Amino acid sequence: MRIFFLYTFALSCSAISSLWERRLKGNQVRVLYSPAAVSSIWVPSIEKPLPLGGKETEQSKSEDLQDESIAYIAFEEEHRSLLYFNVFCMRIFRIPLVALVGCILSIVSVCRAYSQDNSGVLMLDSLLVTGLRKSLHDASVPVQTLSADALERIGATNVGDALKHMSGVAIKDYGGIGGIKSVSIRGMGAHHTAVFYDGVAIGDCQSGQIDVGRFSTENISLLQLTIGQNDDIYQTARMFASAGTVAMDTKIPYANILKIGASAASFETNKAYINGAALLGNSWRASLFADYTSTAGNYKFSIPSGKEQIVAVRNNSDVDIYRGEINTAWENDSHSLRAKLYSYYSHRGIPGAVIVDNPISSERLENTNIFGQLFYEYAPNYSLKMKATFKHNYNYDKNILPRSAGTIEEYCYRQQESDASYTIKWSPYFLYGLSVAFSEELSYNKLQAKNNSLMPSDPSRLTSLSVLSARYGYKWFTATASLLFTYANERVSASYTVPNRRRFSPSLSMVLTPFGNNFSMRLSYKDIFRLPTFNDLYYRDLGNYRLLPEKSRMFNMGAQYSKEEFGCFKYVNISLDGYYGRVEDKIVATPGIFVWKMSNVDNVSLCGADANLSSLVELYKNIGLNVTAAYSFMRAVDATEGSLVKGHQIIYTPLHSGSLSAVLQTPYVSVGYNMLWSGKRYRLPQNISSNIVNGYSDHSLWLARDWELSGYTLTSRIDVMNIGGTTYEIIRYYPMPGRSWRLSFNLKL
Amino acid sequence: MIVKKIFVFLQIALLSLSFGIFAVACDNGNEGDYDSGDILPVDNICYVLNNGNWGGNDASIQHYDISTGIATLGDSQNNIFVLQNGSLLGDLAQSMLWIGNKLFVAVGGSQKLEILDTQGKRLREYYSYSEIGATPRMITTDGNNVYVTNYDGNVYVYDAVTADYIRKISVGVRPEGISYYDGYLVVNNSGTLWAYDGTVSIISLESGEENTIPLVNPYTASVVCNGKIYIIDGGNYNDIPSDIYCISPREGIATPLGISASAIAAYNNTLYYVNNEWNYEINDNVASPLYALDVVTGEKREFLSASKMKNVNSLSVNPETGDIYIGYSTAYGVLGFMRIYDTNGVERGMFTAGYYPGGAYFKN
Repeated sequence: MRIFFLYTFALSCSAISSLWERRLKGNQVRVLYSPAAVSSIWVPSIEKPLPLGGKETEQSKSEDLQDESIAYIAFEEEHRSLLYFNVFCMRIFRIPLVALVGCILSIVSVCRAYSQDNSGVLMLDSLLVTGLRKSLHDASVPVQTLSADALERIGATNVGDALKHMSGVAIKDYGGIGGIKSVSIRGMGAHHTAVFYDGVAIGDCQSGQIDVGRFSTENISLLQLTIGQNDDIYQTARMFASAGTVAMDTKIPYANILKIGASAASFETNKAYINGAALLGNSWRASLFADYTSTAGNYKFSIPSGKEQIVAVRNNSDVDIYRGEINTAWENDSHSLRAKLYSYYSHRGIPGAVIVDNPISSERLENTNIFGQLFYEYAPNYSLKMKATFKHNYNYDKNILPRSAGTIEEYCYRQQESDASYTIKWSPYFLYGLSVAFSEELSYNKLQAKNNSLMPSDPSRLTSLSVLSARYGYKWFTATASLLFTYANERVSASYTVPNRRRFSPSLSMVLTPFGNNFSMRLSYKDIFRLPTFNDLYYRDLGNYRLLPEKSRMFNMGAQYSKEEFGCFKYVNISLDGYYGRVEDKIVATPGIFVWKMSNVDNVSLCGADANLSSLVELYKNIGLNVTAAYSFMRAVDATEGSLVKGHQIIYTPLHSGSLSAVLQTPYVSVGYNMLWSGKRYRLPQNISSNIVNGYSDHSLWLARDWELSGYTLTSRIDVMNIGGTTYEIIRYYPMPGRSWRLSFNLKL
Repeated sequence: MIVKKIFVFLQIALLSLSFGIFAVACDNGNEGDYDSGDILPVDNICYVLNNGNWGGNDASIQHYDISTGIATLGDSQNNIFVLQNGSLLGDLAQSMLWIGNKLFVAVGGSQKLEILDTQGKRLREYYSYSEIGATPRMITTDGNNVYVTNYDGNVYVYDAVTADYIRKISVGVRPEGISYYDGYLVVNNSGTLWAYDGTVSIISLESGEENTIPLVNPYTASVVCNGKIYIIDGGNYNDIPSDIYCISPREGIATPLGISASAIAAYNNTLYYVNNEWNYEINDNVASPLYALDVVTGEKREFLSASKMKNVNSLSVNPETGDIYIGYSTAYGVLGFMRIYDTNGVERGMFTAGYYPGGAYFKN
């Protein structure tokens, strides 16, 4: 019977593959395929573009050309169909082995079909790889994504602003373009959030916090926030070593593209960028991105001060930012190699907090950041693949502080980080849906204080992260488990000895789809910790070299429903997650009469819920309304025994917050509305009225239109931001800009 | 079908609108009640100055009625300065002086010297932000003039009655604590940041001569006790411990007592001190007893046990009764407390203060 099923299934696969092949040939579409490009069992879904608004013109054009054209489509899109098919087969036949054999046969068959047609290449617009991105309904932890289109819709110019539209996160925004923006996931603190740029972690061993505001959204193809441990086990070890991750992806398109753009905005804000990509043969691709941003940042504000208002203009908030990066990639059937060189330079004023009766602000900061990273992946067959990364990061900060009597103090810090990792994943067909992976990552961090004695120890840290993980999928059930072992060795030029740090960190997750693919339920647990930063440990007088790691545990339970063609909805996706967690040995500063000291004193208890909605309604032919909304309830309270503030909501964590985005797309113009909303927060641990930071809502409108100019596409857009005009505070005494505008143009060649 | 889609669109629009309205409705914060019509008594009272958090604009002034044991609120939004003036006091209040019917308040972060009446109403203010880092610090008086140290390296002199600016006296680097006795000003110059090259300037107000004594890190603490001036040298927070120095202004000498301390206060011949230093073994500040040192006999005794003395911000003494006022904090961002003990160590009262109570100030 089993042989019969196998035979039947193989025939079915072959027949379907032939049909597929015929369809592809009929459309003269070639899919560039490389096993190395398959990142994991779960593949991010990318929906085909919908004939809405300006997109329809391009699609129609592509349909006209389809008889003689070849579109370059990432393998994931089509391969996902096959995977779905095999999942379907697995459910029908209930014989995983048969499904696996079928899967292999399908892949071989399709590959054979693709390999038969390599000629007659004519480039199409990259239209087919863009479009509405569905949420990952089968992820075992909350994963929120913003595609390039979505980033454009919400009008965020930097990653920090974009993340405000996601649920479960609190962005500490110190205001303006130059204000630092750090991400705290579910009240655990920014140190528990790891930030990745094209799969490689961005590190800051000195402060442990990454300013996500310094990353432009112009060249980001995908922004992804993951809370907990993703069930993709084919990841670098660093991905396992934090409570949540923010991943920025800058894919190099399979096309020759040149985009240039410029914008002008309130407060003398100007921006220009160039983004180009080129195919350098069948296997090579390269891209370049450069941008420049400048602002005077001198916006007027009005904030409460006692019974009165402070009305003034922000000063010393000018910023100049220069960014550039070069990427290149080479791929063949089983090998993939990517390289990136990134540089960043900024000089800016540090306006600091608004101080009552003291308008002086004179601190300056210069920051240089250069890093290069290499990525290599080898996938000899479907069951085995491996990848390796190498990165070196150089960061130089110079703080300039004018002091009294005309003296100037300078504090310079140099950070260097070298990081190497490899990951192997094995998915043997004879293990019935089980995949195992091992990842090892070594990183070396060194911090040197130049011309100052604030960091007298010149600390360095060698960290080893080893992860063994497994994933098992069967029918409507998928489970993932991982065990991370961390070892850190530190050296300092001081008389004391810093202890080595070792710790095991487990994570478990599962996703269930008992009622079909549209509905999934998930459950996850993650135990993780963060090492004290070098500032925590060694900053002069304040640092405490005996600090323990700060530990966090998080349980998550959620459900997600997504469906296409649901009534008048072209697409609808709803997710709801509840969580409970705890942070122990939280590292905080303890006040003293002379100096303060960092210490492990606080515990935090977390519980809350996140809800997300995204939908697309086709109102009329070619007129669509895209609505996304997010809501977070987050109760994060001090749970320290004996503390006077036990049970008080922790600082800058709203109980309620949310966002809403609505875009009306027509063939002529697109109109969008974005709203961010946050309830009240507390600026200090004690929840008393004088510590309340008022809630806020920020409403923005935009209008955009595409113009076809001799084969080029010019996109013009005007944004009116914070139309309410309230200079609200996310961080007390750091007012945000009031009503402002931005006019931008993008030319695609 | 079209009607249905329009209906759905309207539903979504309505939902968006209601969400937006709900968000706007939640904008308003909640401020504490405060009755601004009260006239505060000025007899048998003291004022408490709370330093506040750096960058928090939450310095505050409290009024404490010793007779009734009632203190006004100490948080930034509801203290007597806001009551009388509407605006916040500012950022990082350093010290205060009550002389005659005026209160002189140095607010360091806001770089200003406020002159208030005894109700807390602003009479005059001097801003020093025209120069970067010109931060007023500690205040003393000789009965006629008021002397204010400033990080710009000067001591500013004001008339105690009119509050007019008179002149400035150049001293050392980053002057902090200051005391007056017998025609001399003794100024703690904390020195270059992180360099621990502090000095003490002894200035004869009559001749204008200045005598400088090198120390390590003389800080804000400076009190007069039995004809001498006692200061704390904070050490370098590493291998040089803090120490109490006895300054004889006329002789121009500084004698270390070999006693580590973080706060001091004086009454008659008794010098009170505590020492809350960081201890790595307990991962916290050491809870220090309050000691009483007889500066004449050299006898030292434990005046109060260590139970409440972990983060003492200030020690003050009522010059009439000798009651000890201990301002302390429990944790970051939590309102501090003021405890009052009589000369026998019996607790007389306690009230919630503001952030980091910097001292109780009595009439000069």
